[in-house]
Order: sequence, then C-alpha cells, then structure tokens
Amino acid sequence: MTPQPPSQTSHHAAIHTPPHTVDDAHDFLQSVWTQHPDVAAEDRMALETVLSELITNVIQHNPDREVLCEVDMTITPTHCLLNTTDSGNRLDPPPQANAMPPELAESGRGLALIYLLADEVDYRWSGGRNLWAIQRLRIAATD
Amino acid sequence: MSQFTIDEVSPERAIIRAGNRLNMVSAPQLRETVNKAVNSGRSHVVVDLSATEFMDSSGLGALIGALKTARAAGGDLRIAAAGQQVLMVLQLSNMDRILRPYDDPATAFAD
Repeated sequence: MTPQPPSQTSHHAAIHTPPHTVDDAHDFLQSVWTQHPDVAAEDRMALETVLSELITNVIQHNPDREVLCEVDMTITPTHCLLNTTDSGNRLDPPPQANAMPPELAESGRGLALIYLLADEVDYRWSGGRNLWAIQRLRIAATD
Repeated sequence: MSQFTIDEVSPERAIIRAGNRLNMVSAPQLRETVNKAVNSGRSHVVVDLSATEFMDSSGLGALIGALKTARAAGGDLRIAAAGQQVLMVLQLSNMDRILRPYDDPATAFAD
C-alpha cells in the first residue's frame, strides 16, 4: 500500500449558480494557488482552464434552474486532483474527448480543452449528480 | 462596469483593451464592445490582451465572433500582448493560425 503523501492538501468550494458565476470558481482557485505557490504556472493555467470549462458547461446546460456545484481540489506532491459534483441535468450521452470544431465555430471547444489539459478524465452519473474526476500529473513535483 | 475600454485610434481603427478574464461572464461584453467599434466605422480592431490573465473557450468563441463581425464590415480583428495562458488556449485549439498573436497593440496593423 502506498503511504499517503504527507503534504497532501484539500480545498473545497460550493458554487450555487445563480447567483454565483464562473468567476467564483476562478476566485476559489486563486485562493488555492496562494496557499500552494509550489504548483507550477503551467499546471495552474491548465487546471483553471479545466475548471472554468466544467463550471461553464454546468451553467450552460441548466439555463433556467439553480444548480449546486461542489468543487474539490486535492494537491499531492505528484498530482492535482479536481473533482466536481453538480446537481444539474444529467449529461446524456456521457461526454467524451472530441475533436476541435471548425475554425470559425464560436463554441464546442470546452470539452476538447478539458481532455487535452488533463491526464485522466472520468465522468459518471451517480446519486442524481454529475461527477467529474480530473487528474493532472504535476510538471515539476517538489519535495 | 464594463471590463472593456475602446481607444478610437483613427476613424477606421480601434484598440479594445480587455479585462482580467475572458470567460462566459465577460464574453458578451467583448462582443458588444467590438460591435460598437465596428458600428462606428472602426472595423480594424485590435484586442489588447495585456491585462488578460485568463481566457477559456467562451472567451475564444467571443473573439472568433468578433473577428467575423469585423471581417463582415470589411475590416479585421487582431489580438496583441497575449499572456501565457491565452497563448496556451490558442495553441491547443489550433486557433493561433486564425488569431495570430501580435506583440504590440499599437503595431498589430502595421503590416
């Protein structure tokens, strides 16, 4: 059994849309990075992009209702783990990695970006919630 | 308060300075601001991204929409002073060929 990394930390945010917006997700991550200056800039940019796309999708798929989206970010010495749970409509069919849309399309790049920026992406529907589990291997793991 | 300001450089040109984040919150404001510039005859638009620390696919979609608006009016839209995260999104989406990043907003239309 692998021992638990001693410096693992977890951070949580509950985002209610509306009134919260995707800006609240950004603000949450800013507070996480402030506590974790050891996370490389490239990892921060990737995870902020992934979370922004996830929250944007939740808001866009539920235009006329309130949704609770719980966000958990766990940082270990080797990985950043981003988990979201939302009470929005079930994503059906389940999302999968897709190609970028035609050049002048104005939408349809969010999911593709998520899959490009994560090392592992898992989506499931469970207990009436959409669950996303994103893993990203940290670029320069520090001691 | 709008995150975008317009600098009316000439009767044909405008530099629009974007705010901190280009996401689904600010994307409609970007489209609106570019429409305003183009409607005033300034169809050659530079979007100055020097203050923009973050852009996602919603922000990119708004830039593409704005590019189409400028081109439809006989002009063009160029981006300048993009930061690392913006460049990352442009490259991953292969959009850096369509929205080529220029260094300096003042000279983005020099060629």
